[in-house]
Amino acid sequence: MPTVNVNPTRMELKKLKGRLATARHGHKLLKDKRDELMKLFLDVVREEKELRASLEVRYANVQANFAVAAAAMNGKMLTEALLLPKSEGTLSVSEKNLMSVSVPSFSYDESHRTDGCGYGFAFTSGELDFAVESLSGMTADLIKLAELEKSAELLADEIEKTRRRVNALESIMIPDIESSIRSISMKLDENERGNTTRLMKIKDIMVAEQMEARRSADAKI
Amino acid sequence: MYKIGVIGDRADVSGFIALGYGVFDVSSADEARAVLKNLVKQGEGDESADRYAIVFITEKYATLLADDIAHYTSRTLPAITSLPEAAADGKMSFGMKKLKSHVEKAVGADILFRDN
Repeated sequence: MPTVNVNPTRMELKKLKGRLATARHGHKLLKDKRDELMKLFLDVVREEKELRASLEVRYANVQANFAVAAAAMNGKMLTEALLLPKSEGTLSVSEKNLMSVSVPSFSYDESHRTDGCGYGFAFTSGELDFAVESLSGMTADLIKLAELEKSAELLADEIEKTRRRVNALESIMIPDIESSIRSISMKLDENERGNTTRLMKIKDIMVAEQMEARRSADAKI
Repeated sequence: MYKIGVIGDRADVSGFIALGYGVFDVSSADEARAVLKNLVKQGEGDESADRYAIVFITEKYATLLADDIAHYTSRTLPAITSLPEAAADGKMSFGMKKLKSHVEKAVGADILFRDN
């Protein structure tokens, strides 16, 4: 039982009733928020799972391509060939608001992208071209993956917080207020009954006194 | 300007240099930790400076730095993501494990991977 430590007054009762209404309203809103967040979250994680699974396969191929290229070339040559970026796209970041959770949204602009490689063909192997091309083809998906993972991370955090708030309202705050209201109204009813009995008792006494007075007046006549 | 960073062993990450990513080859977990910390701090609160919005970490270092990565979870930027490398011997990769932990945290139960 929660400790009820409130003054049993009408003022307090009115205040508590107001708080109960607010708490119920807040509880409903938070519950709706949680459900909506969950819906968004599940969409995001499903997409992330699929993308990651497909990228794992593609990335393994890319790594294999690089291994072949490294085998076909001298290590120093390889490092040197890769030094100059083939294409430098620009990454721009904006914030997206998902149910008041701000998640980053990345877009990669490859319009400055140049075809061809940043290295000469004379001292490099054909396998390297292939490897770089395959990795380059993954860029957009890698960025998408980072975005989805971050969104999932932030949404999971927010859902946990919201769920805690919903539970706190549902199982602690609302029952507490309800029990306070019950105890105050019982106390007020009890006072009311006490008052009525007292009035009845006083009335009885007064009636008896008046009858006594009337009787003694009649006796004199 | 926003940039993309990659942290990992030289052999694993050198290919990203050709794509214009900021590549940091490291050889120990401590080194990787220091680099990660720098990348997160860099350009913070300074609009004009370069800032790393995405940091990719290879599977190997992501596993070693799991605690540090979790530390930066609540930040909007940078998005720290492990590269989609399949884990050896068919186990679940770090990225998949992280995804699973997010689902467990939010839903309370793993509803995404229960089929496998």
